[in-house]
Amino acid sequence: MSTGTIRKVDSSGDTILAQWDTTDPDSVAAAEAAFKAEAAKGGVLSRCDEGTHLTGEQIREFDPDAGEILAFGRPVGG
Amino acid sequence: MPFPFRRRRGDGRAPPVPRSPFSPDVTPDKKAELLLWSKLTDAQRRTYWSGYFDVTGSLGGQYRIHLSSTVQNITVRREAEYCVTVLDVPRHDVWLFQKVLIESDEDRFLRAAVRYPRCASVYDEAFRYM
Repeated sequence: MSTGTIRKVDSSGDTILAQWDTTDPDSVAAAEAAFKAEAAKGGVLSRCDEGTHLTGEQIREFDPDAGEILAFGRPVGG
Repeated sequence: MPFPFRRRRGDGRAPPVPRSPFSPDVTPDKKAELLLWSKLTDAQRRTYWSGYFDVTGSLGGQYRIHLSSTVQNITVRREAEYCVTVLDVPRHDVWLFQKVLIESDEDRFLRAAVRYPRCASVYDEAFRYM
């Protein structure tokens, strides 16, 4: 069993978009839909497991084994 | 508290945690700062209160993210300055975004960022002590 969170970085600091538990297929499906919606916007989605200082790993496909996924907007050069 | 005063906190301690999530001091920037802190490595935390941290790109590039600005604040030692950001987020989230992007997809960072030739700037002062 593993649980995970998609955290969207936004103007409020961050907002939890979805949380899932691998034993609950509905929550996994909802989290995958949220992931795909963010990916479609061209944002940066990084697996960045909670409680660790691991280097972020960008992911293109939803991974239910990820502990935490950070969702950022599209990068803008300035 | 304005940024320069934070320089006194050189003991590696985490940013102060608000007493309660409902406390009025839980501003978006404070939330963002706590999130950034939770994702920094120990080495990055050691220099955080000095106003910067170093990141290694996924292709091996070495970058320094300066915490005094969110614009043109990524430097490669005496070579160039880069500017890449994400819109409408607190500044600590911008720095987290820059760190994550460089560490996880340096190629995308280089494609998205605007590169400026390195010139004399406030950051040169920091490099004198490297």
